[in-house]
Amino acid sequence: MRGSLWLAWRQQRVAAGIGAATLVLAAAIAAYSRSGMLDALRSGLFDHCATGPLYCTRSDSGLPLLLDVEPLKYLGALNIALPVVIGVFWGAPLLGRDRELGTHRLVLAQGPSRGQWFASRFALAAATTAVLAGLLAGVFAWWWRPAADRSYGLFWYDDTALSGSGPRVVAAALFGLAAGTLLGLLTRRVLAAMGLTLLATGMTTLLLEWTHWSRLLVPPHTYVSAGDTPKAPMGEKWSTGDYGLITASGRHDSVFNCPYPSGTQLKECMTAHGYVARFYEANPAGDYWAFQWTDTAVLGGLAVLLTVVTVLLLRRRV
Amino acid sequence: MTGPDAPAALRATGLGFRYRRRGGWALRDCEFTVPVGRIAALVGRNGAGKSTLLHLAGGLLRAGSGELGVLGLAPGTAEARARVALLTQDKPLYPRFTVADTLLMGEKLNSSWDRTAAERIVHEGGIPLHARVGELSPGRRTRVALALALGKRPELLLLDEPLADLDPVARGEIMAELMAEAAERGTSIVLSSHVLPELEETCDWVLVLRDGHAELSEDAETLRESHAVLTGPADRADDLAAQHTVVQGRTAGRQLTALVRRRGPLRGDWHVARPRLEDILIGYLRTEEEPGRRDARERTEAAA
Amino acid sequence: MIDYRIDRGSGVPAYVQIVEQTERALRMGFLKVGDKLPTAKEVVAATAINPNTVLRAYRDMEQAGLVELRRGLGTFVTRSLARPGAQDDSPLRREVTDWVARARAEGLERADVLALVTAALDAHDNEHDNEHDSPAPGDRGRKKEDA
Repeated sequence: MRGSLWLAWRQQRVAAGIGAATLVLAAAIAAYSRSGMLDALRSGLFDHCATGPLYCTRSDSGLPLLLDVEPLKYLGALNIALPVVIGVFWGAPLLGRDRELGTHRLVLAQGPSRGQWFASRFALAAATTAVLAGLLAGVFAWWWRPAADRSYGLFWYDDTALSGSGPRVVAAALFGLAAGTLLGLLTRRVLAAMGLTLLATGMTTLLLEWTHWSRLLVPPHTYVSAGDTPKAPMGEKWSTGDYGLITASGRHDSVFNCPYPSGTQLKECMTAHGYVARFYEANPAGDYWAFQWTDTAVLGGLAVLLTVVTVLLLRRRV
Repeated sequence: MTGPDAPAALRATGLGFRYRRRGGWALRDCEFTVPVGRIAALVGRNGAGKSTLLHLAGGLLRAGSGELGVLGLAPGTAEARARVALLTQDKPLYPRFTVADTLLMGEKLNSSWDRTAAERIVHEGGIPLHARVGELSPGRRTRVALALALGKRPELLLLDEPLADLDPVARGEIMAELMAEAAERGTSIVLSSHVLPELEETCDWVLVLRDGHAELSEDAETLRESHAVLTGPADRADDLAAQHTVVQGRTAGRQLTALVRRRGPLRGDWHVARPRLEDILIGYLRTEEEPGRRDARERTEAAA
Repeated sequence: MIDYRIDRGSGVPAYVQIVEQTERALRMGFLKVGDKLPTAKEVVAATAINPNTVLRAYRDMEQAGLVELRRGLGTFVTRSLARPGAQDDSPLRREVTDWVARARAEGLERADVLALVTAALDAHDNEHDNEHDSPAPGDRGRKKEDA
C-alpha cells in the first residue's frame, strides 16, 4: 500500500502543487482585499448604513456606497467551478490516464492489487481535493465576513456566496472527483473522459443553481401581515419575488389587483376586493444553512454513489 | 515429471475465458502443464488466445471457467503477485517518468526488489538513468520494462511478445539477458512469440494454442525426436496415415512431403529428415481441422 | 577461456555445436587440462541460447570424461585432446600445408580438396574399423541425429 501511495503521489504531485498555488494566491488576494475592506469600514463612511437590501448613499454626493466585493465574487465563482475543474483535470485522468497508456497493467503486474491501485490514488486525490476545497471555502468565509449581508457588501443569497462557500464546496469537489474518476474508468480515452466530465459536472452544478433559484429543495417561508399593517421588512431575507394579497377564504392574489404601497388607496382597494391580509414569500437568512446542508447531502450522496459504482466496475473494467 | 503433484509453472484444467458475456470464447477447455524451470514458448496464430492466457496467468483477467495455477497458486493473489512477473505486449511505462523514477517505482511497488540487478540490466543497454522513458527507442523501452520485471526477482516470468518491434541486435541482447536470468536463478519463463527461429535454441518447452485450445504442450527435444519430415511416393499417403499421425502433408505430382508424429518405427521407402522446431510448429499452426487431428490433440493432452 | 559461437542456420543442435567447439579447442591446444569452461550463464549471455542446452553439452562432455564439474567452482577440463600431430609446428601439419598448396596449384577447388580428404579418411576408417576409437560425444550426437 505504501508503494502505491508513493506512485499516486508521484503522479498527482503536479495537480496538488497547482491546487496549493491557487490556494496561496487566493489567500494572498483575500488578505490584501480584506484589509482594504476593513480600512474602508473603519473610515466611518459606512456607519450610517442600516441592514437591508437597499443601498445606502454617500451623504455628500448621493452616490451608492459599496465595498469592492468583485474579487470576492471571483473566488466564489472559482469555488462554484471547483467540481468541474477537479473532475476534468484530476478525476478523469486518475484512472483514465493509466487505462489509456495501459500502465495499470504495469502497476498490477508489479506488487499492488487492483484494490490497492484504486484505493491509494483515489484516497490521496479525495483527501487533497477535500482539504483544498475546504480551505478555499474557508478563505471565502473569512474574506466575506466583514461584507456579509450588508447592502454595501454581499448577501448570503448571492450565487457566489450561497454556492461558493460552506461545506457544499467540499462535497461538490468530491462529487467532481468521483464523477471524473468513474468516467475515466468507463472511457478509454482521457480526452473523452474529460469532455464527458465537463458535461456531467457542469450540468449538475447548473442544476443545483436552478434548485436554488426555484427554491425546489428549500421552500420559502410565507410572511403574512394582517390588513394594511406595514409588512415585515425584507431585511436579509431572500425574496422569491412572489408577493400579493390574501382574501378571507385564503386565496392568494397578485399584488397588481391593489398596486399601492400603503395609505388610504390601499385600504380602499383591499376593502373593495375583500382582501384581509398581504403576504410575501422569502427565505430567511438562516436558510443559508438549509441550502448548504441539502446541497452537501445531494453532492456528497452522489459522490459516494459514484465511488461505489467505480469500485463495482473496477473488477470488470480493469 | 509432469504428474499432477509435480510443481508446475503453469497448469490449466478446463480453462475457459471470454471477454464479453455474449462474445466468443478466447480460451476454451484448455488443459496443459508447463513444468517449472522451463523456458516455454507460447505459440499460436493471431487471436489464438496467447495474450489472454498470459493476462490470466498474470492476474489481470479472471478465468471464466476452469482453473489456472501459477506455481501452484491462484493468479492475482498477493503471493502470486510477488512471485510472478508479467510483461505485456504493449510494454506500458509512464512516458514522463525518468528511467531512475521507473526503477524507483519498481522498488516501491514490490515487497522484494533487487536494485542492483535492475540497474545492471539498464546499464548494459547503455541507457542513461536520467533519460525520460517516453524519449527512449522501443528496444531501450523494452529493456527498461524488462528490468522492472526482472528486478522483482520473479520465479515465473511471463512475457507477451517481448521481441516484437525490436531490431535484430536488441532482440539478441534481450534474449541473452533472459537466458542469463534463467541460467542464474532457474527462473521459469513463458514467452509468446511469432518469431519462430528465435525459439529454436532458446525454448525447451512448447505450448501451442489454436483457436483457444491447447494443441500441444511438450518438451521441445521430445517433439523434435518424435516428429519427422518424410518425402516419398504420393500413393503411400494412406499407409502413412494408418501408421503414424500425419500433422501436415503436401502432395506435388507423385511426391508427398509430410510432417508426421511417429507411432513406432518408420517402414517403407521414405526419405527422412529431422525437422527443426520451427517446421513442427508451423506444421501444427497451419493444419486445417481434420478428423485425424482430433486424435492427435487427445494424445497431446494425455502426454501433458 | 573459450568463446562459443552458435550457428542457428546449420541445423546442428546447439549442444552438439558446443561439444564440437570445445573438442576443437582442445585439439588445437586453445584449451588445456585444468582450464575452466565458461559458466552456463556466461555462455547464455553471449549466445542467447537456452541454459539447459549448455548444461546438457557440459553433461555430455563430463560423461565422455573430457571435463569435470566441481560444485561451486565451475566446469574444468580434465583431459586433453591435443595430439602431437595437430600442433602448429608439427611435421604432419607442415606436410598437409604443403599438400594443400600443391592441390591448389593444380587447380583443385576448395570442395575438391575437402572431398579428397574426406574420401581418404573414409577409406582409411573402413579398413581399420576395429581399431576405431570410442566416438567422442560430438560424433555420437551427430550419429544419433543422422539415424
